[in-house]
Amino acid sequence: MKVCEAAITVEDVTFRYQKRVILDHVSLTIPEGKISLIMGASGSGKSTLSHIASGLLPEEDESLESGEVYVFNQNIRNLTNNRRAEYVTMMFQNPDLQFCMDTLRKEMRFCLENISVPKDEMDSRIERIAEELSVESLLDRKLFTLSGGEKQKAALCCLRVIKSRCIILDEPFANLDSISAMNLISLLKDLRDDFGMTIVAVDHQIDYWKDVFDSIILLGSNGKILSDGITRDTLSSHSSLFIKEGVFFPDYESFKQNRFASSISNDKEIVTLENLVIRRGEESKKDRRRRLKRNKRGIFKLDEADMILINQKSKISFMKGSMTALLGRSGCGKTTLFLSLLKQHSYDGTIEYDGTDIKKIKLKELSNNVGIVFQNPINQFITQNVLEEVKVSIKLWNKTIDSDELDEMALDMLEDYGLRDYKRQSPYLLSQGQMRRLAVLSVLAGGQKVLLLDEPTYGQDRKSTETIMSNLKSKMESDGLTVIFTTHDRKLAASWADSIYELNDKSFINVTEESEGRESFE
Amino acid sequence: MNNLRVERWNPSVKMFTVLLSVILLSFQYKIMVTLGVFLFCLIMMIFFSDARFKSIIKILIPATFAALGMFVMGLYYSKNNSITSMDVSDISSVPYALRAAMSTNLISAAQLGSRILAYAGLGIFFSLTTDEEFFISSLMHQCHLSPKFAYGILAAVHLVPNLGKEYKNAVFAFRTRGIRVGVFSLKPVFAMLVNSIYWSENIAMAMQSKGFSDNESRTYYIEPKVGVYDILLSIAILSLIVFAINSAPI
Amino acid sequence: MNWKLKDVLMMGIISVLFGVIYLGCTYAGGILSGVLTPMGLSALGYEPFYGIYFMAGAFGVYVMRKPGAGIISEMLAAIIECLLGNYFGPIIILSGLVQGIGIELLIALFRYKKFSYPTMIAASVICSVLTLLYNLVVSGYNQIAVPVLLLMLAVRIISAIIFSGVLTKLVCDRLAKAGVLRGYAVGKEFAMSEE
Ligand SMILES: Nc1ncnc2c1ncn2[C@@H]1O[C@H](COP(=O)(O)OP(=O)(O)OP(=O)(O)O)[C@@H](O)[C@H]1O
Ligand SMILES: [Mg+2]
Repeated sequence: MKVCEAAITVEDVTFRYQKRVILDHVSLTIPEGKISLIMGASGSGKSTLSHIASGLLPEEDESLESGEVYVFNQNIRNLTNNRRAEYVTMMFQNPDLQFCMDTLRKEMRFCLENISVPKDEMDSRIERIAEELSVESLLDRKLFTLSGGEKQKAALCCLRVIKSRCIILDEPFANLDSISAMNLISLLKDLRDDFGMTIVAVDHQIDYWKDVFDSIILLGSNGKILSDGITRDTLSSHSSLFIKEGVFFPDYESFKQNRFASSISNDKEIVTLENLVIRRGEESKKDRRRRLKRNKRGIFKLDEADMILINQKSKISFMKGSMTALLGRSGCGKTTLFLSLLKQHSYDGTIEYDGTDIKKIKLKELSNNVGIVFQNPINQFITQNVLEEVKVSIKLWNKTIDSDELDEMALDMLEDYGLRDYKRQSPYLLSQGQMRRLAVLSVLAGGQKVLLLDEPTYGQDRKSTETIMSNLKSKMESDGLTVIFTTHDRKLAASWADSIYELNDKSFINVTEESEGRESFE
Repeated sequence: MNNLRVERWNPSVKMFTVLLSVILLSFQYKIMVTLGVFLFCLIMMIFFSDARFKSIIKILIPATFAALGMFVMGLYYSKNNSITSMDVSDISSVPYALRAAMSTNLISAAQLGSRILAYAGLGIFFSLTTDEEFFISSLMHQCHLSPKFAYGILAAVHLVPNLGKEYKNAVFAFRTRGIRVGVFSLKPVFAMLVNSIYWSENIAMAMQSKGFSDNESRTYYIEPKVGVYDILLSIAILSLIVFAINSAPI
Repeated sequence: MNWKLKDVLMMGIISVLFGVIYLGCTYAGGILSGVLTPMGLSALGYEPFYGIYFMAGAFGVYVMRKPGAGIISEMLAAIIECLLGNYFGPIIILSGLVQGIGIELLIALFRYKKFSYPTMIAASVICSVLTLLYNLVVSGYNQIAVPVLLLMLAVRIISAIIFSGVLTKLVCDRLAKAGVLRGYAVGKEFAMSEE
């Protein structure tokens, strides 16, 4: 085998979407057998670059304006998909959109068929990889029943079974809790150490990687390489560059807030939960009855307990004007709780809004008071233009505003969120992070008194995270807004939230004090 | 006993048999034939397939309603002797008109209704005894469907569980933004179309990243073949239908 | 056929979406046809939603604007519906073929160059007529009295005009405006007209 130093070489690549230049003469080398991390502000072109490096962009009818990409010394243009896959494959952010079959075993067969592995070898190869990554139990489960972490692990299995020499991951942990993320990282580390695989990861959070990465590449706007080959030893000398670019830096402390400064304007409870039991969504009442009957006959064992997501005995109160963070493993039911709070999911027990049982409040009135930002931003956009999107929201709540004022207000907000340059762009053509920011902004521009945010800062760089959180804070102070948000990021919770609950073993535990202590410990 | 399952019948051959049967049936009006085909399908499903009785019944119910609807329609409005709208609105004449119309229309009505039943029988027989992947693989191998279409179809089908969930979320997301969403509102549909396009781009990328290419050769894990028995079964069934058409009295 | 994988996926998912909407509507249609059954007009109950059936084909040909786009989209929709357990099974592949031809016929005559409202509406009308002809033979509608058939045809045409004629174009143009169809013929046309 030929020894090669560079797994991927990007040479002077220029790429544009319509008139907008996304990558401007970018050159870059990824060393073989190392873990390289690509970081950079949201919208700087990280995803675009990784798609180009893995040969998925440009599509057939587009072309690069200039430049070439080489993988293991071969021009990527000359490789067909199936040949290329042996050199480089990619794992994507959204775990739901990576598979074309319905079980992992079939998906792995699909991969092997692609690279023309003879039929007789398929089964043994699949078994071996499954054992290696210890996913035997996942092989025949329907993929849509797996948790986010399991899905990403499954995706990794597929890339592994192809024996790809380099894998590129675009924000692979965006939907995962820290335990699943750490799990995946240690798998990736093993792949590097045992098989010499090259791993390139795009991520905003550096903390997960800090013990395993070999080098960091920092991108500026238009994919400009600000610094190439930052190693663990030289990391600390680059801190000012990271901070200037608004990118997360390990153990970054600056946004420590003086908690309770906003101090809860009064101690009025605005939302309370009591004796709450929430079951999994998939089961209708009828199914449930049937299952219980079956259980009684001992035919089918699925415990009542397995169906319950949340079983909250003690009362929880969310104070008016406060910010609460909800932590918990992915898939543990935080989002379902939000749905229940808005009467979109059945529950037992009581939920009160402002002293009234929400069962007695009309849905329309409830949603006038309680707003929500979902994980998938595509569902919330109403218009085809970024500026309009914000304006519509402001106008809905502020009918009397005149149009100049409206424009100015909307533009100011966009400026804050680093979206002003995109005001004429369609919301659907933004980068992942930009899209989510716009979704948060468009709900924040409304006038609801309580906001529920599902992972508001995922996929955001440090600067955007701070902007989002401080905007929420200032709105809490000025309008008495109450904020409840979910997050996987303990640090974020510890530095911004007035109180923190962790969903553990089906009930919420107040961990406010504890996480404060733990944070200063680190 | 396991050899006698129609699940093993080559799906493409099965499909063409069903389609040819439909074409044969559509040029004749004998009630015995159509009902016979329906019963035949039921028997095949119950005795020679792994289809669960419950699922058969479940899917039969809407089909029966459709057939019943056509039956009543034929009863009223056959071309031989239809009740004009005048008759219906004129209450006093209804019983007479009904009686008169029914006597001549009963047969056409039965023809219309039983035809729907026969088609449904054939359709259900196919749906419940055919594994989706086996079917698509067979389309690839026997009908030269290109892998691009085959895997594209499978991927789309496997996204169905996401669709309903996201649709509900979209409706709800609009409501909470203060946008009114009615039953006939286009907004959630629009959001779903954007989602669909977005998903298709993402999944296509994921598949291509895993080495899927349109024109390169590939191996196959499942490779359905057409054997003598597949063809024989098909010929037997079609001849049976032709024979029935020629010999049935009504 | 220069279909890309993502085109197949898009049409596949969208046809499932239209299928689900159609199914939702047939619940309404079921009630309507239940009410109409005693009057002997049960088949009429489903006619108001017939246009939704044509939407996959209309969408495909409108977005991709190349030969076969309408027919293949309808066939894809039919195969998928068959996989999802429609009670007519593979038979709907036949009707899908007829619908695809119906929608695409006129547009092909115009060499895939004209996509105005009148064209789309006319294509929808042709599709309605063609599918009724298919029903005459295959579903045995030739047994039904002519005035009733005409009534069905009228309702079907109106439905087709609304759904596959007007609504499809409306939605596609909005999608193009939102930029999500930039990889397709309709999106490119839109981008050009913007400049
Ligand atoms: N399809 C598209 N058409 C036009 N512009 C696009 C398109 N996709 C992305 N862009 C723009 O390209 C730029 C880079 O996008 P990219 O997704 O590569 O950013 P990113 O660095 O991955 O950001 P994030 O961290 O938010 O994911 C962004 O400014 C975005 O608005
Ligand atoms: Mg990105």
